[in-house]
Amino acid sequence: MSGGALDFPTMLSMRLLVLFIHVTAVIVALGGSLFSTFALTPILNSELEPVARIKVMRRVVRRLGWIVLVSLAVLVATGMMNVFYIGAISRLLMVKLVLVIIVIGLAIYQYANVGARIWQASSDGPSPGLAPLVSRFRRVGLTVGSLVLLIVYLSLGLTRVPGALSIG
Amino acid sequence: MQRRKRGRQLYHRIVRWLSVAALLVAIISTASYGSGAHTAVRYLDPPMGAWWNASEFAFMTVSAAALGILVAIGAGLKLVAEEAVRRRVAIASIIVGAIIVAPLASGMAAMARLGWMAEGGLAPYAETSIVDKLLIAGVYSLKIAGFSLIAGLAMVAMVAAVIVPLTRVVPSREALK
Ligand code: HEM
Repeated sequence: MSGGALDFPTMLSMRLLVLFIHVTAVIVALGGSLFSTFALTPILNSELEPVARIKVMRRVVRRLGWIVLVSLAVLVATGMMNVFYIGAISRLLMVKLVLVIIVIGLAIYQYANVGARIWQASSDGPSPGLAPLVSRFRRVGLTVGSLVLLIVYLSLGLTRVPGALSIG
Repeated sequence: MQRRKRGRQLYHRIVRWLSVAALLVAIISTASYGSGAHTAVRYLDPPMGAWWNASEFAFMTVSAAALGILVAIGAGLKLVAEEAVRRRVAIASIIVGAIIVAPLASGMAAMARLGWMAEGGLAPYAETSIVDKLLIAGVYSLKIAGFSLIAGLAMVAMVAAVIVPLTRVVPSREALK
C-alpha cells in the first residue's frame, strides 16, 4: 500500500494467497464446528425424533471430522509457508505452535476416537451408550474451538507486535 | 491386558523400532556434525571420512525429521479408536511419512535456520568452541524434530480424515429405514 492507494502487485502476491488460504482454513474449521454445536445440534434435538436425529447426527459427525482434520492439515502446511515469508521465529510463534499441537491431538481424538465410536454405537439407531459419547464429543469440540480462538488471537500479534515477544 | 495386546501389534513395534533407530542416528550424526568427528574417520579411512563428511548433515536432518514424524505417528495412533482403523491409519501414515520425510527434512532444516527474532549477539558457527558447536547442532536437530512433529501430526490428521470414513461399520437396515 502506498499513500492509501491499492498496490496490486503486493495484493496479488503469493504471500497474500498463502495467508488467505491459511485464514480460510481457520474459518472453515472453526465455522463448521460452531455451526454444528450452536445451530444444528439444538435444532436436531428439538425438531427430530431420536431415530432420525441420530441418523443425521452420525453423518454430520463424519462429514465434519473430514472437514476439520483436513483444514488443520492445510493450516499447518500454509502456516509453515507463512513462517518462511516472515523469515523469523518469535516466542509468540512457539507458544502458538504448542497450542497447535494440542489442538490437532484433541481434534484427532474427537473425530477418530469419540466420533468413530459414536458412528459405531449409533449403527443400529439410538443406544444407551450414545449419550455420554455425544456429550464428550461436544466437550472436546468446545475445548478445540476455544483453543483455536486463542490461537487466532495470538496470531494477530505475530506480525503486529513482534518486538514485544521476541526471544532475546 | 488390552494395553499389552496392543503393544504386541506389529505396526506398534515397527513405529517404536523406527523411532529408536531415528533417535540413535540423530544423536550420532548430530554429535559428529557438532564435533567435526569426520576428521577422526578421515584419519582411519580417508574415503570413508570424505563420504561421512559429505553425508553427516543429510543424516542429521533426515533422522531428526523422521524422529518428529514417528513420534507424531505414535502419539496420533494412541488417539484413534478401533483396532481396524488404527492399523490402517498406522500403515498409511508410515507409507506417507516415508514419502515425505526427505523433502520435509530439507524444508524443516531451512526453517530451523531462521533466527530467533531478537538474535544478534551470537558468534558465527565457524568461530565458536566445540561445546558451543555441539549445543548449536543439538538445538538445530531438536528444532527440525519439533517442526516435523507438527507436520507429522497434520499428516496423521489428514490420513485419519481419509481412513476413518472408509472403515465403515455397516449400519443395520432397520436403522437406515
Ligand atoms: C489451529 C491452527 C492455526 C490457526 C487457528 C491459525 C490462525 C492464524 C490467523 C488467524 C492468522 C492471521 C493473523 C493476522 O491477521 O495477522 C495467522 C497467521 C499466521 N500463522 Fe497461523 N494458524 C494456525 C496454525 C499455524 C501454524 C501451524 C503455523 C506455523 C507453522 C502458523 C504460522 C502463522 C504465521 C507465521 C502467520 C503470520 C502470517 C503473516 O502475517 O504473514 N499458523 N494464523
